[in-house]
Amino acid sequence: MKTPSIRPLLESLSHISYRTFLIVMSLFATPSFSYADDLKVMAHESVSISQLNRSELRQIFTGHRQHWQNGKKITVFVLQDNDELHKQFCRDILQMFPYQLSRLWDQLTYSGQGVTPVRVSSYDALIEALESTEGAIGYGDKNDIVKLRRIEVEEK
Amino acid sequence: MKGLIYFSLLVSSFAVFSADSDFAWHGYASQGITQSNSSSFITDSDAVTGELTEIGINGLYRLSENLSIAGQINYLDGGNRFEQGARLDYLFVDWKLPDLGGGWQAHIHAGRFKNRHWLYSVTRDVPQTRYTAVLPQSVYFDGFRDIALGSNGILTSFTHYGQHNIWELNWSYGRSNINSSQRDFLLGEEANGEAKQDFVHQASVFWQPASMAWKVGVSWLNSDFSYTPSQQDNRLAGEANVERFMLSAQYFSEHWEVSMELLSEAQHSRGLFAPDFNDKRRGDGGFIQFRYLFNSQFSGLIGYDTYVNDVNDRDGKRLEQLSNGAVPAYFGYQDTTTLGLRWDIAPKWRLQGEYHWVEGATRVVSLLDRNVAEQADKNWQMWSLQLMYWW
Repeated sequence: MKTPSIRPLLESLSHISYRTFLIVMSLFATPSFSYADDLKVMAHESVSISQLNRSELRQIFTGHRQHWQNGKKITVFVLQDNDELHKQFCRDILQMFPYQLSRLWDQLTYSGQGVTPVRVSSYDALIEALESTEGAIGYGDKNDIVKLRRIEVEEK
Repeated sequence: MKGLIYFSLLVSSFAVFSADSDFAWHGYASQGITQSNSSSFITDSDAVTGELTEIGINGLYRLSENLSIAGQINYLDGGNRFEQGARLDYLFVDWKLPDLGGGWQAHIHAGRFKNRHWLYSVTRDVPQTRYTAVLPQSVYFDGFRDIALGSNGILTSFTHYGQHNIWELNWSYGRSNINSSQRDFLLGEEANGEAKQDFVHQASVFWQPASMAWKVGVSWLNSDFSYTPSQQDNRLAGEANVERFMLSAQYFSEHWEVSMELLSEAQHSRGLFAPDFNDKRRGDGGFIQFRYLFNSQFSGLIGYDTYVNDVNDRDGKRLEQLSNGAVPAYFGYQDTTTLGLRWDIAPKWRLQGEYHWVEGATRVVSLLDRNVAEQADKNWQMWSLQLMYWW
C-alpha cells in the first residue's frame, strides 16, 4: 500500500505561509509609488535652482529647511490635507503620507521650531500664491503652468 | 487670566498670516467633557465635568535667517490631573548654526524650551497632536506634567539628513519650578517648605530612514531635587535624584500607525521624612498604541499602558504591608487599556473620544495622601469627548 504523501499538504502550507509572509512584509514596506507625470514641483520664477533630490525636497516640505542657498526665505504652499492633488503629491513625489506630514507640521508649529506651509483652499489660489510670492515652492500640473519654474526631483 | 487668553484668541483670529511676514501666529482651542469613575484621577465623586479645556496661542518672529524668537502661552484645565491655570509654555531664542557640513544642521534654544526627548513631549499640551486627551501615564505622568514639559535653560539639537538616513541628537540642561501641588505629590500635604528642581539633564538620539516611515530613539534623563522645610514643617531637609532611560519607536503606514515607549526610572531619596531616611527604588513600564485610519476622516485607536512603582514589589503587597494596610496593594501598579475614535469633521476641526479601563492606581494620587485608599478602587474607568479647533 502506498503511503499517502504529505508533500501536497506541505506545499499548501508553505504556500499559505509564503503568502502570509508577503502580506506581513508588505505592511512594513517603505511605500513605493508610481509617478503621476503631470504633477510637478513648482517654484516662483525667482528661485534659481531647477533640481532637488528627494531628501532636500523633504527637508523643505517638512519645514526643516527654510532658506534657499542664496539666503532668500522659502515659503511653502500646499492644498488642504483632504485635497486629492495634495494626497497625490505626498504619495508620489514626497513619498510620505499626508497625515504623517501634518503631524510633523503640527510639531513644528506648536513647539516654536519653525514656520509651516501655508495651506490654501483651492488649486487656483495655490498657483496664484506660487506666482506672486518670491521664494515660494509648491506643486501643480505642468500643463497649467507658464510663469513658474519647474523643479525636477532626482531619484538618488 | 482665562479671559485674557480668550481675548487674545479672538484678536489673533483676525490676524492674517502673510507669507512675506517675519511673524507667524498660530493657536488652538479645545473643550471637552470627561469623567473618572471609581477614581478621583480626573473628577471627584464620579462627576461628569467640563474640566477639559486647552487653549493656546503662539508666535514666532524671525529676526534674521539664523535667529528667531518663539513663545506660547496656554490655559489648561484637566480636572484633578494637574494644576488648572495659565502657563508660559515656552519662550526661547532659536539660533540656527551655520551649516556644519556633511549634511548636519544644528539649532540652539535658550530660554524656556519644550522637552524634545520623548515622542509626544514636545506638543503634549496641544490636543490635535495627541492620540488621546489622557496620554499613557507610565511615561506622561500628569502629576509631574509641568516639570516634564520643558525647562528653563539650554537645548541643542543636531540633525543629519542623508540620502538614506536621518539622525537627530538632542541635549538639554535646565530646571523648572515646582508648584505646591507637585510638592504635595512628592512629599505629602503636610509639607510646607520649598521644593526645588536643582537641574534636569537630558539627551536623546533618534534615527529615521529617509522616508521617515520609522522613528526609533533612546533617551536619558537625570534630575536632582532638593527640599528646604519651612519653620513649621513636618518634613525635613532632603534631596532626591531621578534617572530615567527610555526607548521610543514609531511606524507610519498608509492606513495604520503604531507607537511605543518603554521606560525604566530609578529614584533615590534621602532625608525628607527622617534624618536617616534613605530609599532607593526603580519603577518601569511603557505603552503601545495602534491607530487605524478607516479613511481620511475617521480613525480608531487601541492602546495598552502599564507601570509598576517598584520592580521589587510588582503586585504592591509589600507597599500594603509597610503602610500597615493604609495603602492598598493596587496602588503599587497601574495597567490601562484604551479605545479611542477620532473624527476629522472639517479642516482644522476634530472630535475625539476615548475610553480607558484601568486596574491599579499608582498614578492616581500621591501615595503619601492621608486618604489614599479612598481615592480609587482597584478597577476604575475614565472617558472623555473633546472638540478641538486649531489654526
